[in-house]
Amino acid sequence: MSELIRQYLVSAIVIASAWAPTAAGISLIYGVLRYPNFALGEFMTLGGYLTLGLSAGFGMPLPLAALIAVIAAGFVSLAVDQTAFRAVRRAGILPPILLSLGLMLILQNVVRAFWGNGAWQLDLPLTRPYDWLGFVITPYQLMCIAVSVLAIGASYMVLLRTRFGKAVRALADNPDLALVSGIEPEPVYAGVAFMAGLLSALGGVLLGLQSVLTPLMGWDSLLPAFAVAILGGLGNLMGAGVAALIVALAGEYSLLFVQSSYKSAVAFVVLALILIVRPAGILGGRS
Amino acid sequence: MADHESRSGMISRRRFTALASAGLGAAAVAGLAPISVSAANGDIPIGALMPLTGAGGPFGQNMMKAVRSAVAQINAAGGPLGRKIHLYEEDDQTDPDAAVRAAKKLIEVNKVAAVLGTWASGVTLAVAPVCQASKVVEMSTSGASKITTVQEHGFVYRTEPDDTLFGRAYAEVAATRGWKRAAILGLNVPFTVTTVSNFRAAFEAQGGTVVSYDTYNQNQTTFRSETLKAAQGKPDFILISGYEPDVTGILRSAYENGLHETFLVPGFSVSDTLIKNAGPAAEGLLLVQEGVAEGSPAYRQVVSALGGSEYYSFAAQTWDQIQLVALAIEAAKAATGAGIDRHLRAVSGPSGTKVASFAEGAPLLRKGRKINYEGASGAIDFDAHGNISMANFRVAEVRNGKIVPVRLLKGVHF
Repeated sequence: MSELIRQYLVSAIVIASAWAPTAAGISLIYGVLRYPNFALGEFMTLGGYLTLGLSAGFGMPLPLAALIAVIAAGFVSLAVDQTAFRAVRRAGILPPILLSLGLMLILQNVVRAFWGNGAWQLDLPLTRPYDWLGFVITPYQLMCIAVSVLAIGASYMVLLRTRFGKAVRALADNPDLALVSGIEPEPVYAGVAFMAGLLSALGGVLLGLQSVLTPLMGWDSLLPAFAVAILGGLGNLMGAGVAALIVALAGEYSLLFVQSSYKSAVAFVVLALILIVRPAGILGGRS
Repeated sequence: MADHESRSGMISRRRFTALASAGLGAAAVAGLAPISVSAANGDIPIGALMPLTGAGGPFGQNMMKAVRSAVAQINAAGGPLGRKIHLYEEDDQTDPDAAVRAAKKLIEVNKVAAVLGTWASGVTLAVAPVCQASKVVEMSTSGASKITTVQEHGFVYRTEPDDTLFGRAYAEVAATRGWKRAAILGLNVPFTVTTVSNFRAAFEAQGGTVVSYDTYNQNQTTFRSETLKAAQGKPDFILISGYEPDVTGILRSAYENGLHETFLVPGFSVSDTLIKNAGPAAEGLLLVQEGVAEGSPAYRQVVSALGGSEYYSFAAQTWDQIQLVALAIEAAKAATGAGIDRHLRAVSGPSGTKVASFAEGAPLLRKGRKINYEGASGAIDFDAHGNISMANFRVAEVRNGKIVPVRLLKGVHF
């Protein structure tokens, strides 16, 4: 039993590393643009499949393929934001939600059209794990965790230290005040959309490295990613990281008591309980 | 197919002209025309509804090729009632919605008497009421026990062993290996419930213990903790009742966790894609595959029609489905769904002279003799429900990235 307790901790950290960037993307869009973007799950799928296409199709080394894929996904997100979403910017919350649902279906089916419904694998050799004081983990899983932590950390620093970040925070805190102080909003929105698309796609690549690519991988991760974003406090990037770990821990440790098919339900019970105590999420909204 | 669609399009245009110029009488005559579209040249329309894309894609392509080749052979032998079979092909996309649309097209436009080859259980269940309402025979290669309840309304036949038989086959594999401790991981769908309860009953009766049983949902993406939990009880083997994506995930997790467990899985969850995706993690994997009648003349013909070296479980079944349908039409002396439904059991055996093809059976039927079709996939004797009452399985192992046969399980009964 004690061995399982140690191993489930590792499982939770590994899974959280894939959820956290996507949740951070959701959080960022909601914090600044004030709508839940349901298409971000599909940006995970897009990230995973673009990486597959570039590495398997064009023979690029996997890290380079992943880098180009997530940047490309960022630009797709930016392009959609500056066309479709921009057109409904002042139309209230419902039009962007519906747009994001439509975009979700389009992206999912584009992936199906190119790669079919079957399962694909990113071309990374399977490795046997390290056993470190009873914690069993593979080098690639360690790498996934490191990349995830770095991505969240870097995004946080961008928001904290750059002029762009300052503008983002100003628009998130008080849009009216930000506008009268001369902040040009559209470039900021575009930048936020780019970051969100990139982060979600990165989550998809990390998930793809841990399991198989299917056209439904983003859809299947959408609920946990939203739960994580809400628990972390919408608009709060660091919160997303911490919340990803909490939701993943709740899910994995539930296996000690219930069947795996109840895993996500248990995670949502934990989410509900925490929100009763801290309605704005564990670290509060927007930082 | 496209040819026929354009012809019916022409008819409706013609009907429009008729209405405008010659009045209602002419319109009524033209209105009868679409019925004659499929039967005009005396051919018997039969539908093939198979998963050419989607999860069943790797199997569907071969299933279709086998049927085409069998139709050519049947037609060369003169065809049932001296008429040719015309095959209408549709892709069910391994998706119930797409399958129902295609089935309606086959039935309403092409006027088929039978629909062959529905593969996924969800597809078979969705298409069944459509066929039953129109008195069209549905021949399926699905395993779900739930289909049996639908079969009570007639017209639905299965050449695939029921999940119940799969469960017993797993227990038999365990018995031959002397395994006493089983861990089970099951996808949370109906076939897992039937398979696992039948496996458990048989396994415990032979002195085995199920040390753990966990179900997971279809939308689960990673399996690290589940695999570790299954291995925790020191089982002799881990049974996975699932489909290809989850089986792949579990095998990879086991490898990445440094485990060396033996896994036992259904043949329908393993294609060449799995072996490629799981790589070294698939080594030593044991498969229980739907059996074929190896060495039989019918199966040899399937292999030569497909020209490869795979184990063609599903293609052998669709080969048999069209042979059986052709024989039933001959026996019924009518190319209708109701006629086929009345005579399918009789031509499937077990009583009567053994025949291995339409060409062998048709002359006997014309002389009023009873026949017993024994085909490429096995003896195929339909029971009261329309299921095969006894099935063969093949146990195979993945060695050096190839599926290698280990032994045959013959005559697993309900």
